[in-house]
Amino acid sequence: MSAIAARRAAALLASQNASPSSSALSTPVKAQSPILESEVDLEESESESSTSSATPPPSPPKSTSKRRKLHRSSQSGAYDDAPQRALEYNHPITVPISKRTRRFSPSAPASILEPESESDSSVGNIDADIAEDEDDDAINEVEEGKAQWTLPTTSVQSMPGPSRAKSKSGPQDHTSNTSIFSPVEGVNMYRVSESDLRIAGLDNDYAGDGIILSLSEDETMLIAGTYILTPLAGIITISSCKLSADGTSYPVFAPTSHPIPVIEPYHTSTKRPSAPFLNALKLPVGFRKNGSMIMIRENQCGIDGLRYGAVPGFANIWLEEVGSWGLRGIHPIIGSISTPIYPHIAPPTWSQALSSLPSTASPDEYGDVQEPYVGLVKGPKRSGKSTFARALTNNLLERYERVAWLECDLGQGEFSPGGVVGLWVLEKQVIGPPFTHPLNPYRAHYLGTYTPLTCPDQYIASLRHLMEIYKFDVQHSSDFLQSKTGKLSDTIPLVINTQGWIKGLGEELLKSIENICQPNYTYFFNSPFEEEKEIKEIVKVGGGWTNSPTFEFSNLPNDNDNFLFNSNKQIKLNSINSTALQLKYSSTDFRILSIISYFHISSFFNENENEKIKKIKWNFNKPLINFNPWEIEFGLNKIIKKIYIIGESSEGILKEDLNLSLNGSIVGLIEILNNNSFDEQEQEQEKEKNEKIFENENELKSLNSINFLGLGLIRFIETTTKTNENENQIKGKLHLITPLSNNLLLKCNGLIKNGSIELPTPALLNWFGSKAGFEINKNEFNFNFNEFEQNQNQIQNQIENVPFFDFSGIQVIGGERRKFRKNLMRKGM
Amino acid sequence: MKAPKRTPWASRSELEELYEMLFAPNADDTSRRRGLARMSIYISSPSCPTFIHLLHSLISVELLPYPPKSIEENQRSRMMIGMAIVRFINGLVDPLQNGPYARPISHLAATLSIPPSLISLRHRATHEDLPPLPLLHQSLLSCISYLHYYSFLPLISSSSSSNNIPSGIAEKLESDKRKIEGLTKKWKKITKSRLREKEVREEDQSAIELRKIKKLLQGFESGLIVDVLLSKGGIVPLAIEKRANFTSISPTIPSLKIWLPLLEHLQESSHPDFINQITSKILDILLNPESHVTDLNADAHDNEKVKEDIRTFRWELAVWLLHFWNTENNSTMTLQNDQKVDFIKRILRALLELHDDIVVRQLFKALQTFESSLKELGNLLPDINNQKEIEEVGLKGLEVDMEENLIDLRKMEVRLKQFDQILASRNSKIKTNQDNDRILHNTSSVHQLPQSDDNSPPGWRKLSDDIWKPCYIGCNGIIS
Repeated sequence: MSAIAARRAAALLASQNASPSSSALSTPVKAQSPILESEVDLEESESESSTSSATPPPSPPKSTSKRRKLHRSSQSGAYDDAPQRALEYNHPITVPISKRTRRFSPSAPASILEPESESDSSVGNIDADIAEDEDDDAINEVEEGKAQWTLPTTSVQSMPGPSRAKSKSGPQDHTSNTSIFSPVEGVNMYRVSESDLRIAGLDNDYAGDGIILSLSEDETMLIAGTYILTPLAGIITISSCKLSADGTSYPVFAPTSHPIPVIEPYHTSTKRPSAPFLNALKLPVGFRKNGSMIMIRENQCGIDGLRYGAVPGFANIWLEEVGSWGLRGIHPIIGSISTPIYPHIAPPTWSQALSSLPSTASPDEYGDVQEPYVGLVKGPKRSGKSTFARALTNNLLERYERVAWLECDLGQGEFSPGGVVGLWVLEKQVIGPPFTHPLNPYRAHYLGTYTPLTCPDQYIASLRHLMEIYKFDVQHSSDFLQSKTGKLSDTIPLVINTQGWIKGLGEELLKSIENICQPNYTYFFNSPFEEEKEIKEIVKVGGGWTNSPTFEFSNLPNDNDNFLFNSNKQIKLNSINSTALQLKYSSTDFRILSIISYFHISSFFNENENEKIKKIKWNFNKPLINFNPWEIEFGLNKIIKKIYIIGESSEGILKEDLNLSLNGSIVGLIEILNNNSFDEQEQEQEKEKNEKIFENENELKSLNSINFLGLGLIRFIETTTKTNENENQIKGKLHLITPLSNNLLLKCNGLIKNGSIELPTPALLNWFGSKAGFEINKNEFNFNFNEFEQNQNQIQNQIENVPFFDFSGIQVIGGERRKFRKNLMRKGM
Repeated sequence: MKAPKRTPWASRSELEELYEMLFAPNADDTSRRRGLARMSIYISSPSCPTFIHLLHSLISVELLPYPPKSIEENQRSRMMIGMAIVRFINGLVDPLQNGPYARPISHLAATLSIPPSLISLRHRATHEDLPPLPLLHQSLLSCISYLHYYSFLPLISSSSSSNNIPSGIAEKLESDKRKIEGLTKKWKKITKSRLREKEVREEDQSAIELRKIKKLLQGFESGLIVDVLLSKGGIVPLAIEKRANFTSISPTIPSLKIWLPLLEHLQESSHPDFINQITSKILDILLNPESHVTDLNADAHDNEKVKEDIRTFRWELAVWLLHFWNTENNSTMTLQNDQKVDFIKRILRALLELHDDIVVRQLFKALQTFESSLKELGNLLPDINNQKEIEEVGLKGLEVDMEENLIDLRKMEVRLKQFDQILASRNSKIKTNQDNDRILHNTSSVHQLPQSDDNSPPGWRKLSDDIWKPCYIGCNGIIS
């Protein structure tokens, strides 16, 4: 029986024998490529934004590299004991744990191999896709191979294969996809208005009306949307971290594109904390005050403006404007709702790991004072690294006043839209996906690409530099304010978030990172690959930090291999269960979301402002092309003194083409610090260098003198060079769109551009044309209908002249973007 | 609307500048280096087409000194050219590897019309010894010209919407066009005289001439030939009387006799797509009456005669279309089914606006006799104000028209009222939310600009609404 036919037979067999409830998964869980990178299907994006109902979007005409991920997750989806289920029925579903059938994920095609599959090529942003697909390669091959040899013995009750070992961790804590809470007005639910809160003395931190809930011990609460959570009494856990009621409010973001955090009361034997203003709130008499009380308030930050269509595919993630409790943006999941919701379920190994964090700085068993905490999280893609790292940071913030975060992941930054390695210092827990909590870095370097493949040396050098800055400036810092909350403030622990790329060059980089950072706690996720080979021994190579799955010893000799640090603790974690969300949204989609929402930020908090009012607001009321830009000049004695162009083929760019190169591009705004050196020769060189405005040599710049502030978009540039002036004198002016606040802009005096990061197509267009966009437009700017229509016609007529677009539709040979072929596809392989 | 494609260049003219630098008749090493620098900008972008990447590496290799100055140089050049050619072929062929298993490169390359010699060269350079330098250099040049012809040129010279064709190309196009015009005139003359004298010998001087014309025309671009044939002095007779009657559905026999042999020849020999192109262009002309009128340089509003000229001209084109529509399926001169479907769609779409254009209506009527599926659709079309050739419609018909129009208007008014109501109710809802927002918006958000920016950093000027208006990224929005 040929391999393909055998596989098909198995799939059919499996699907026939699948339990009836699993077939329900097939409807909402469809692979979608919400953003077609090579073509903009304007009609599709319009229909996306105009449906305000929370129905799952229709399946797309083509799925590109999704197919590959489908295949992989189809295998991993099968081992779910407690599969993530969409809420289709009106009763809570109890999941049958007993039947361990080898099922393919219902969203995978019945026949795995299809002639027209583009699964083995990566499309679009080459850098990004290389970083993404690197891992899937071998895993796919292995799984295909596995499928072949397990086929003859496949039966309905077959035991899961080695990669199913994850299920051995046992049943999960929650199987419920809805809140376990029955709201009763006046008993466990009480509405408060904004004015009530102001009377009670609550800081006016721009929250709106709210509702107070009281959760008893076994109750849980799932709320989708965006809200501000204030624990009032007791301690609650959310997203694997504990929040106690001390009056602090936490913005929580729970879009349907990510697993929703679950709010649960935490039982503790110590004294129950309560918020200082609790008594001022005048709760009704019958209210259940002995439960864990929380207050949920509207968070009017503007991020739900995504519904107007700024990022296609993400228009419905915040559900409707007003939720079932009458509060804007707050959608409690009680009972069933029509949109598929996936609660965030952390494997038990996570909670074990998080509870074993060092709680005090007291001497350990050896009598030595404990080293400051440096934790590193590593593992393959999609294993939940960033989520765990965030949970780790949140947990550390319970004990420490501040926690530092070192970002090593260029493709998916936690606090930035990507392309940046940096050091951030956090003071408050963050709950929500990365694009909802952008922050200004403490110190960062802009590499301008989503993968270190093209610049490994600069990548490592930057990380080394940042690590030094951490060690000398941050770790034992005392120039921050003294702690008011009684938390530890003499050291600032570090959490290091690494890339998901752990094979090949990625592995080398990871080893270097570990050598540079020397973490004393390493959290690693097992790849299914490793379990497949049943590596029981952790081979101690390089201090036991990085394991090579295939080889026992690394290929190239590495001088740093001989360091063995006794204080390195290895903690193994289980990957998060894959959900249908991973099929629906790829990392490219999230990148596009991050970067577009970044530019729509309307206020980044200033550093001088009162720390309590740290709030980020977004403005999605108009497309980027309508944002009023900054105009600044560049040249010898102007604001922008240096323009760097880095990246692939940057060395070939001439300064005459600076206009063309920078027009419409995303740049990193940098601050060039003056290095006062006493060496005369160096000073001479510096001066010479300073006269050169435009630099594109790809050499390593002096990292000490450059600090990355934020991203900007050059929406127009004009150079003026007079012929009788000096050759090197380039000057001109540019129009810049950037969300940075004024005091950061004050420091900015340089730009870096790397062509690999490009503004996504939806941001270049006027999505005003969509119905929803029109509504807001009409109210904001008091257009009358006729005028608006006229405008629309004008814009429509000009649409042929949109820069960076080709409307001719001519197809030529080699006219498409590059696609990299991932495997040779030889017969018999 | 065709899906627009994202490009790394801001406008067509940028691309044309690049073309000039690389392929203009007066391009030399310096300009090619300049072009290379331009291409470096484009290839850093993720939306750069493959052929620019390939062209970049090929041209940078071509700029190596040839012949090489030393033996080392010789060896290095061979390596580099070999690598460039291998990457060139792989780059074109890899995206086509879509099946479950890899197909041989030779097969895929054949679909792209890559010369087989390049394929075998690639194989040699990858698996065997590097070929000698002269062969490599020559192949390099043919790679570059392949991309020139198949990738760059079609992108630049689209005959429909090029506003700024670089001068080199424009001239060439013009001279080509003139040559074609000359040839078609000659053809017409000779064929007519042959028909008159009932000459059928193939060895005759005239026959030889005709063969020569055929051969010469083969070398020209089909788009140009089509344009010439469909304009004045082409397949449509100059004299109005010689044109097809409004009631007939085929060109006149003399017309057919004159032109069909030429068209057949072109279709069968050098331009296998010719019939599709010419019929498509005919349809274009028919469905865009305004632009056609200006093409013919006619003042349509003044002269009755001119109007008739235009109308019969268009109808003549239409019957040619019908002729090809109606030809036997097994001959080469017929339209394919999917092409027919496409045409029907275009006609239907156009009928929404052109429902009172008698030429198009008549064409549609004729097509209805060929395709039964269109019969029902005909009833949906409103009646037109017929002209004298067609039966008169009495006043009754006009009344009905007016009535219908009024009914439609009333319907629209009702709908407009409803819409306004819905809008008003939504307004109030949104307004309260907006009000809430405004109360909380203490910090100045981006779109509420204070007149004087006290807190903007020195040198940073926020462009306010009175000096800047929204425009696409890449455009200067300053109101001058």
